[in-house]
Amino acid sequence: MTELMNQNDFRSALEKAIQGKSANQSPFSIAWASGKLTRAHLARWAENHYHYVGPFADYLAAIYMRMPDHYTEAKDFLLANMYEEEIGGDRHTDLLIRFAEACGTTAERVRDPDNMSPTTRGLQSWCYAVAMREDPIVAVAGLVVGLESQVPSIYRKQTPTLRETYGFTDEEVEFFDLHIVSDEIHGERGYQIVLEHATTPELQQRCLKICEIGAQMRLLYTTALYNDYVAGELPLRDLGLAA
Amino acid sequence: MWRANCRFATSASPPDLQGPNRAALRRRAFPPKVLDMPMVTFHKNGQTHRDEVQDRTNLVVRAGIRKFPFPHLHYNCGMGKCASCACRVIAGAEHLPAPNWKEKRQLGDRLAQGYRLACQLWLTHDIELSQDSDTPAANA
Repeated sequence: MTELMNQNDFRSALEKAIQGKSANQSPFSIAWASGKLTRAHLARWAENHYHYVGPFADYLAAIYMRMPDHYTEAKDFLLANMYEEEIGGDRHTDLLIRFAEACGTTAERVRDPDNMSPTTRGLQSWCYAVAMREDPIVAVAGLVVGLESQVPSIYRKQTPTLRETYGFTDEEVEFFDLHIVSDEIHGERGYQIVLEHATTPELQQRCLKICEIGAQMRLLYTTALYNDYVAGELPLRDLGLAA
Repeated sequence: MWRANCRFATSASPPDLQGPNRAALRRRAFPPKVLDMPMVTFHKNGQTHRDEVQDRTNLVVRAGIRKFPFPHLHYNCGMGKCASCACRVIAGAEHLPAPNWKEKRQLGDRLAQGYRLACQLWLTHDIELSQDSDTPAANA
């Protein structure tokens, strides 16, 4: 039988579970980081990404509602994440729309759910299902640790390329800048919740499993972006990947 | 702060660990000690708070998870838009990167007085900071 891990070992196991399927490995992310996408590709990304991250406060609200009332700090952390996503500074999705407009699409197109791919719709649905149905600690592991905590490492790699290779201005790429700090806070809060409250071997294993699934879902999503919008113009061999 | 080419130093070898597995046994018995954790000295409301943090720590991220310098460091947006986390750097400024576009926009002339936005700084060296009292925004 699996034994209860201490918090250090459990954190390392969570990080390992995410790392194995990091979205950094997807062809879309590789093409982005190497400056090979067009602004039209990035516009399609924004039109999809809006529907994945746009409801993030909704996902968190569903977890918040089901989090036991005596887990006060965990509830406060979720509430703080929701506040910062929506009204702490600029609304994060407004900055995403600003980037989308710089890529040549419109706010109307970004907000229109008909413009997301079936895979994006699947990712969004998975997020809602996890938030509403999983044990709240497992849900935090899946959505905040498994998905949100990946963002700073992805955007640290992608943001300089947006400025230097794609030629966007600082203001146009503010969405990415802010997430390097904001999602680091949010991801760390997620780790704190999970490390503190996954107090049985069974719960720890469920958290690890859902982190792995969350990372797979994000990889699936970004891989589909490549297949749906990029593959026809930029084959895998041009990215140094086996076809 | 001590900084050498190697990031870690280990304690001296105990005399009873010999043979081919000596290194592995030594690692187990004497785990590496991190010697390059930045020391943060933080002044607020006439009080001084001091603690070590991990290398490449962002103090707003720390405050956001209620670790030192919480609850003393005020911040609000965590995205370089509100300047609630502005601090004056008293010592260690030479180890910080040049102010970025958000700091230039938010701080303007205060940059010349030594102010920086804590949310935009990842610390790698010792630093001494002061945050003005009566910051209107409370921690989120």
